[in-house]
Amino acid sequence: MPDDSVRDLVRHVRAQLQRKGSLGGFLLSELDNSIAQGVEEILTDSDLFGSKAGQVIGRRIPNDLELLAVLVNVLEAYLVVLPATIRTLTAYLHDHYRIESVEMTLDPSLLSAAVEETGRAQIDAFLPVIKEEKAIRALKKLHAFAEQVRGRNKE
Amino acid sequence: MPTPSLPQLKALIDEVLNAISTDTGAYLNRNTADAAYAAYVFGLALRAAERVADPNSVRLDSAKKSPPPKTFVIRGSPGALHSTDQDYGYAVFKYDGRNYEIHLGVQYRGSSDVLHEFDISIIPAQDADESRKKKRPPGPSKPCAVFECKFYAHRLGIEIGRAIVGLKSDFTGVPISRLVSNSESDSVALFLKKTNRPKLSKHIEPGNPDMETEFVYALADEFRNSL
Repeated sequence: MPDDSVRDLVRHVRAQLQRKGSLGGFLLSELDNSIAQGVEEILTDSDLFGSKAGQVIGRRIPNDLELLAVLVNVLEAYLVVLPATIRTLTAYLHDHYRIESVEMTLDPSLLSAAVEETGRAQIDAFLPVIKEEKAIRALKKLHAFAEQVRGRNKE
Repeated sequence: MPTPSLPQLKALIDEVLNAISTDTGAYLNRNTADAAYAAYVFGLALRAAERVADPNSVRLDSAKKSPPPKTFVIRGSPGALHSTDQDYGYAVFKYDGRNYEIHLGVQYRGSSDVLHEFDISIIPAQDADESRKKKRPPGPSKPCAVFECKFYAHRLGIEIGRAIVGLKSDFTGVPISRLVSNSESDSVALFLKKTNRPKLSKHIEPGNPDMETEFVYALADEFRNSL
């Protein structure tokens, strides 16, 4: 991959995700949706068009930095934030109500053969698992990068 | 922290992607992501109920009315409140002497007689029992609180705001309604600011403990005022 193109980095990530089974497929569709959504142009001047500030007045294709942020946001949302919501819920129900496991029902075709008969799976069975310390450190660095970009966009 | 270069970002992303285990027991998709997020918001609603509930009245129950459940089962897709296909879990609490239930993903009949589902809803226990007895979804005036939960990696589109306002129009008598999301949107926030529209609770996620706490307190306050 050339080092100088954000678009090429996105293509590289898309190719990597395509090799990651159904989970990669889902992350890929979320990435594509996020890119397709574009970047909202926000009205900052209250009097313009007789409308209130804060409204979206259109969308545009993201610039390089915004595209990187879109990419990192997708990884962060599904690899960090969603698993954290599940951990928070299961810990709370365990500590306050002695719940040993939280399970979600689904159509059996969406479950692995091992749990198909019950029609449900442990809620964390849906989530990607990242255990390697090095990868967790990498995610934290990506998070810090995304925060930087979000900070810049608010300025 | 200095901004990483493109090659450094690529290396970080590769590190993460290579570490993802694809050996999951179920498929993550949009529905399961939203249902899992709704379950987390259910936990926050439960915390709010604990703040206002009559002493020692909050507990978890399940559709088959088994002894206190060890496994809490949530719906991956909406269903009838009276369904016992699975031992679906819900919470029970008493406020001011009246019993309430907090449900995940159950359906209600709107004023148009169309069935709608809410990610989280609170209903008087008496009305929930009637629904179980008659095997009929509760009507439009039954829920006291309804929440739609959206988990997104990007900003909320205005269509989500439109959808919840349309949904709420079939349940005009429900005093508490919120759109809860880990994400945000200035347009949706503006759209929902109008009187009698559902409120937007944005940035609700564990990495934002201040927002979590604010949300729990705001809900508790609404429960005190409206239940």
